[in-house]
Amino acid sequence: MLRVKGLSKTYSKGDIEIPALRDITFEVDEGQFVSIVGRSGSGKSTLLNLIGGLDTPSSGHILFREADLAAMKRAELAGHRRRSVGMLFQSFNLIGHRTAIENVILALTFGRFPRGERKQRAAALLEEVGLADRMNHKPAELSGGEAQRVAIARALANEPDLLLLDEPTGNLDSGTADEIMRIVCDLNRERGLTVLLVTHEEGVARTVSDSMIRLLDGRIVERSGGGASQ
Amino acid sequence: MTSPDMIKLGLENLLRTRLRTVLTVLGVVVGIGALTSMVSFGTGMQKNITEAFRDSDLFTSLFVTAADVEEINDPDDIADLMRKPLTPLTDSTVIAIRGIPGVDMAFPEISFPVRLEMDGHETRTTLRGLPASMGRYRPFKDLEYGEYFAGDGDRAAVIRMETLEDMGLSVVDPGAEAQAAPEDSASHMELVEPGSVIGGTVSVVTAVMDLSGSPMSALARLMPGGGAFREAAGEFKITGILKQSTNFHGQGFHGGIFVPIEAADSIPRLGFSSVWDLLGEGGGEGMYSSIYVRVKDMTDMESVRAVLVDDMGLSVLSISDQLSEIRRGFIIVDSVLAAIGTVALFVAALGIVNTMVMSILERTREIGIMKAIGASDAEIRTIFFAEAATIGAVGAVFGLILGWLVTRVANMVVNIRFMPPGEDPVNLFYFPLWLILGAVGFSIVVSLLAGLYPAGRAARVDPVKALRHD
Repeated sequence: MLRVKGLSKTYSKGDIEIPALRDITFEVDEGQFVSIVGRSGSGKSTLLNLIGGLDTPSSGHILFREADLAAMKRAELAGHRRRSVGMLFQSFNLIGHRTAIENVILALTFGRFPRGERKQRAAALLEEVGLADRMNHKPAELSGGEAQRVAIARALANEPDLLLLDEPTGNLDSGTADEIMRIVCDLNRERGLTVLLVTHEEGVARTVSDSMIRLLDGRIVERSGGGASQ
Repeated sequence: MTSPDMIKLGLENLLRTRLRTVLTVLGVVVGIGALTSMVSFGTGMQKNITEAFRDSDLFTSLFVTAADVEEINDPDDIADLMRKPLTPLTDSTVIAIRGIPGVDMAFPEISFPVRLEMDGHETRTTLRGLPASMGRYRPFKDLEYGEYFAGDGDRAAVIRMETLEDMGLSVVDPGAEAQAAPEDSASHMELVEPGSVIGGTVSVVTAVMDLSGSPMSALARLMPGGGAFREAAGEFKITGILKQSTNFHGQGFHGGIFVPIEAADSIPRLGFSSVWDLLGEGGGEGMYSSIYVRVKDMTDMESVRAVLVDDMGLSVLSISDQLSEIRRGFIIVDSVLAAIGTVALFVAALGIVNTMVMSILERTREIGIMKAIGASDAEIRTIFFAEAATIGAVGAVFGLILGWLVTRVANMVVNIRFMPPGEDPVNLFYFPLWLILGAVGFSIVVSLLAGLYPAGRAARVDPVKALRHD
């Protein structure tokens, strides 16, 4: 489903070039749960942003269902973000002045979902993540766990093939974090949704994922479990 | 994402920052208000003048004279003129003109000086002969009192109000005599009711040559002492009184008294109107200094003029010539007024740029989130354009209302302060449909131009950086 080949990303700061990722190569199969672990600054989030189509690589290829993201134009990358991937972030990234249901509707709007069916679908998604009675609350009125569940509903809105999670439990207490990870695992097992999790919590990664990739200073230093092969 | 979705998102964003939006829209309101009130003043002036011309029916009138020597600048043209026989204006010319397609009527100018006598009052004025058919048109269809004459040979007359005043007669409405202004008695005007003038008889006195037994040539008769003058008088029944002439009404029909054209022609008088009469170039026909031609419709003007000038070698003067000059002048005036108003709108446009740039800075993270969930650059740009266009459209609507209110107040002040009592109120400002639609369109275009930079900047926001933005 996903093949990353010789991927590098370098940031420039004046004359200084800072390599964030160097020659990353791995594959993720359909329905797999792959974790990327590593210390802060190891390039995990950069890798996720590149796969999510939020950023473009300096060199190498990201083949998603054989379409190379590195060769895509900005509008095509927007299409990839809209249709193929759903993203979760540590800071939830909900729009503060919109209610839970409006945040989900916004994703459906950009996803060209039929206007008359958006509200119904958004409500169904929020019900699915256990927020039937909180859908008209704004993010500030929700707990961290509730906010992240809204973000999950939003990520699932346009029925993506790949779920990209960037430290989704980083801002949550352990109980809530377990709850969120349980939802994600259910999505992977029951729906067969492919998941790519970035986390610095190795214990969590080992528990939930089929395979694990360890990054250090922008390089893959360890692969474990099945899949996520070179 | 459909266009209504993007417009909805834009509107939601504007409503979220109400105060800032209201202040920005207010800038556009003032700009459009200034622009439309300025331009409406220009269009109002143009409308008033054009309508005054139109009311006088002069858009359908042509004044035909013999070849125009004043327009000749080149010596070769003078030589041409000398070689070409000039077309004299005769009865045959009038008949030929009547045959041109599009011509409603054509009649020669028959006018000469007369002395009018009526019940011991007298004055000197010009008598003008007109066909009875002119009664269909201004200013004769709308007389102050009485009626226009019915037949071309009637011994009837329509007299101008000013001519009666020159005779020392002041026409007042029945019953109004008692409340007559003191100036009238002070200036020794005799107050008369219209009923006592209409139906009355006016004696038209002309000077004629006493040619009894004189064999002199026509030219010799002009010489001092070459002949003796005597007076001839004819009686005409007054059928109507023509209202006071305004600036435009009745232009082209100078004269203090109007009588049917055939009756006018039969009045004994010094029987020449141009040097052609004296030189006998008319082949015995009556010679005229000019011919009045009326076309059926304004659109016939050009074709009739072409026949008169190109085919018949005549010279034509019409008010539409002057009107096109006036219109050119109005374009300049309108442009200057519009330019002044546009300055205000330009300032408002800077306000829009400022508001939207501020909005982008505040919403950078939101833009990043929208991009993360699938918004394209074009969609982000369109959302901001929708906001700019909404500011422009709402500003234009309220700006038009403001402009209209300002012009109403200004108009009221002018009418109360400067218009003499009894005069019809003037309308100095005019909002034609093109101005209303144009103002809305212009405002939206200016707002979109103002939104060009902010919308482009929003579209270029890097989602990765934006998601890290606080």
